[in-house]
Amino acid sequence: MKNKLPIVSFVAALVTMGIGIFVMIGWFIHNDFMRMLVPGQVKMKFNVASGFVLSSIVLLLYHFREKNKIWSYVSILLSVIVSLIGLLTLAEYIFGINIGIDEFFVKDELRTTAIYYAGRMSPLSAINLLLIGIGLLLLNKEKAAAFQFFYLFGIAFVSLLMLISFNFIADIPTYIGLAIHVAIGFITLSIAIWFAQPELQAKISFERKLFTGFIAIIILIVLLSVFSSYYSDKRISTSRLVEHTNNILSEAGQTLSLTKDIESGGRGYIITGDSDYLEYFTIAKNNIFSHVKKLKELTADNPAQQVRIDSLSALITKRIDFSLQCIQLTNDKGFEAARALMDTRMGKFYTDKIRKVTSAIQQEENDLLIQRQKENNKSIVSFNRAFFIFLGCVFILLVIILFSIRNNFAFRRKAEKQIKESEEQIQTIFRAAPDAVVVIDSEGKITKWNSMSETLFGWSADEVLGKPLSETIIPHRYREAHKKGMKHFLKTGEGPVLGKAIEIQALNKNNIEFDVALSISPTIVNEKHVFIGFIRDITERKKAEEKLKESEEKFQKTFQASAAGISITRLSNATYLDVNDAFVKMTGYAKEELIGHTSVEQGMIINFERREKILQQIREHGSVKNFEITVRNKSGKMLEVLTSVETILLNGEKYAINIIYDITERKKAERELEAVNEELEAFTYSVSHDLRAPLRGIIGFIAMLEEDYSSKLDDEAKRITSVIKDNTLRMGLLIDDLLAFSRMGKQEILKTRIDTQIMVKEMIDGLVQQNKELVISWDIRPLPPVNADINTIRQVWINLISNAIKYSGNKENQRIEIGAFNQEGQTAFFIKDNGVGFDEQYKSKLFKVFQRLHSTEEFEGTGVGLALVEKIVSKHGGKVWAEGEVNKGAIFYFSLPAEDIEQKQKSLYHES
Amino acid sequence: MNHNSVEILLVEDNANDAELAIRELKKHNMANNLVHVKDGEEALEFIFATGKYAGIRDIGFPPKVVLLDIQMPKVNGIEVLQKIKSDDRTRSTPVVMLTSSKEDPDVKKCYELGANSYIVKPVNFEGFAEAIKNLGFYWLLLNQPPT
Repeated sequence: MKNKLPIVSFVAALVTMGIGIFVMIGWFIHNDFMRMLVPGQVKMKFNVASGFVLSSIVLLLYHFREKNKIWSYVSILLSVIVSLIGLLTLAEYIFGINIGIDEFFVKDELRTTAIYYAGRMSPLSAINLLLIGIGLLLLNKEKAAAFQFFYLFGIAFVSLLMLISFNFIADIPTYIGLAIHVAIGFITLSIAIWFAQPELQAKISFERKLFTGFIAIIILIVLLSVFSSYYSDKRISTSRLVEHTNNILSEAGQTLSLTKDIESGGRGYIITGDSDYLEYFTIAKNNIFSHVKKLKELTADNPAQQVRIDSLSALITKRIDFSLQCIQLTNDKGFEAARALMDTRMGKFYTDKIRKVTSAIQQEENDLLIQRQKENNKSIVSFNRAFFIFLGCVFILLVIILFSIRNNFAFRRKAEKQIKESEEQIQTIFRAAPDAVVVIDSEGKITKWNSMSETLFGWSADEVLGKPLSETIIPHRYREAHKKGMKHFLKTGEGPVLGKAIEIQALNKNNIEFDVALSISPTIVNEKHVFIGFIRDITERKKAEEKLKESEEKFQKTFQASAAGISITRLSNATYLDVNDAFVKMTGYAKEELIGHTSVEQGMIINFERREKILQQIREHGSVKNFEITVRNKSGKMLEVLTSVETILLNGEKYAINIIYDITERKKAERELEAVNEELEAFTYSVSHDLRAPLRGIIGFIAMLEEDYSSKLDDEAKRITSVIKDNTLRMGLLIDDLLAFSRMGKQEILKTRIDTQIMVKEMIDGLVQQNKELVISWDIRPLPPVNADINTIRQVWINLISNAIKYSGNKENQRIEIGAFNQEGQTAFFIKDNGVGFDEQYKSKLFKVFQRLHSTEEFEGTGVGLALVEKIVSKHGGKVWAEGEVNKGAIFYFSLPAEDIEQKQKSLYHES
Repeated sequence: MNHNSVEILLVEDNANDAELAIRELKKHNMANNLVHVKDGEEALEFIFATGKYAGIRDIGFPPKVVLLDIQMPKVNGIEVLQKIKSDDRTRSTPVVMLTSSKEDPDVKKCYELGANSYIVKPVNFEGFAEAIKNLGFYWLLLNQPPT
């Protein structure tokens, strides 16, 4: 029992069952209180009670529904029995027969009369039970909702009416009447059945309920009218009764007075002999019986009065006869004879009797009148009460109807407002939708076209509304398929493209096709099929997809074709996701041996510390650049590899892209080169030390010779010793230069900011100081500062300036120009002289070590200076070059990377 | 010769260089108390009064200056320098290194080890003579050794 309604039903069913059992017991023990509740009322019949009990059982079974078939069969059987009880009883009424079901279970003490059938229930009850039986069979059937509502309402309504009527209106035939507990029982049973099916309540439309309410009111009003007219008749009959009684009274009175006329007329004639008296007598005698006759007619419905009137009539006859005898005697024998007869007082005797009878008649009529007036008044009063109760019912019903109409209207207004709002909302959505929304009818004609559609297709709404979709935005090759698809859908309700997003091409106003995503939803509006299409331009997405595909392909190709070994590993567990061919070749492992495995598993790692270092760097920086590590390949050979790792996110998981180069050979070469270099170093060292020692000896001992034996040496000997000394010195110089040159290769470059201007100025000052005889016109332009190694760059300047001085030394008006300019982002310096210059065809030899363009006799030199310059400048990342012409001078250039911004700022800071 | 009053200890394996140096020092009267040893091993024996100098020399009387060639067989000049400068008894003895080239990387090392000066033995004899002369003056006449 999910909510309260079934509980109501359950309780009502129990109450009904209680009533049924209570009355059944009443029948078994013949207790009238239990059968009637109110004395004088009709009894509740045993069959009705059993109908109540059976119906309640069906309902209770329904509430405790078991998935047991037997119980459902029992319910059906009981329901059929209930409706059969009703049906058979009705049949008895209709065909006027007794088939013995009324007293099937118990006997009724009252016997069948013209207005009472022993043990038979009211026809109303019979109808009710029939309907209830059917209703129980149709419990909770959706199609029977209206039936359930009407019959249950009807039963409850009629029972309620009966309940009221029977307490106030006495004039209802007893056999259709319902006992109080029958009425109550039907009401509770109706409630029980109705609330057992809460689902049905929603099925009953408001109109239907309203209609039912009005029917109830109409029935009430009809009943009121019927009763009203019945009781106004009753009022009329009361006044007729009075008139009738008055008539009788007056007739009786006249009869009496005529009797008196007869008496006094006879007596007067006898006493006086006046024939006038006789005339009175005769008139009275002739009229009196017409009154008696009238009296008899008026009281025809009252046997007691008839008897009285008959005796009255006899008495009157006797009285008339007596008077006639007296008159006869007077006429025949005279007054005295008549007097003797009169003295018998027979006349008075009859008259007194007549008077008595008349007054008895009058009395009876008066009593009757009073009694009837009383009866009428009583039923009128009770009817008045019922009338007001009915009127109250009508009023209450009207109020209920009024309120429910009001509520319903309010509800409707609210619903309408909501519909309107939701309609507006839909309109807004339609207008503002980021997709083109197009609606077409079942003929394929466009009925709606939102602003995004206008933007997307270039057609304005006015242009396309009412036009077939197939003539606007559908590319020609799809038009037939579109029409067929629609026809197919309208026929079968199936459409392969409906209800899902498809990618297709559409046509814009300029007849240009483009890619769209389309989804079509069929729906029904005003009982007609319409199709709502949502269309989105996916050109850009397609392009992006294409690009992505291309880029993926590019990556794939690069990945596979790369000479470097590339692997992609899952960072979480270091397993390989993919490796390229070069990687496979390098490591010697097949792809299958690597994918899903780790390098450690395959025994490739031999230096775990170094591997850990790489992993740590990945964790800290996300990448590793040019890390050297030794790994073992499948055949056990040690490989030296240069590894670079970048991490990427794929589907939320971190992967490492590892690029390795096999540098085993290179490392070997490097090591060899290093060894060679070391050898060369040792060689240079020994050159500088060991070659110089004998030189020192030669020079030292020649000096000793010159010092100690100069007197013994002739001029030629002195010349020879001088030549030996010069050559030895030259050799010393050569060794020094060579040493400097070879050192340069190893020298580290330590960059600082050099103020070129100052350095060059000081250098020239120094040179001029040393050689006072030099007459040179210097032209020194602004020289920008550079960021370089001061010791080596100083050497460059010294060598170049010295060269300029040296090679222009044979010129008169010797001139040297020094300047700077910007070249390709580098600062270029030049030193220009007007000396001997050089032949451009030997230019390539200028900067080569021991290569000279002039003989030693012409110009001193070892052929190392410019080679050293070239070496220093290129170590700085710069360039040297030269221009020259024989006897016209030479220009030597060298460039250095321009001082970078950071350095500039630093220098500015220092300067300030 | 009294080995305890030596003013200059010349450690030089090259006989020619040694002769030239001694000749030059003699010229300026500075070779009176000069001892010339031909390798590092002997130099150490002399300085620390061991080996063949054991008993004939007292370590408490060091030479006023040691002229020490770098390139020598057996025990080279750098090792000798290191031994002198790492021993408290000899640390204060001035040591002047003799080298063939000023660009010799050993020069730097010598200074680090505590050499007091150095002389490039130039090919040019005049230059060498000048250097020796200046050195002799400086270390023997001007410089006061720590007491």
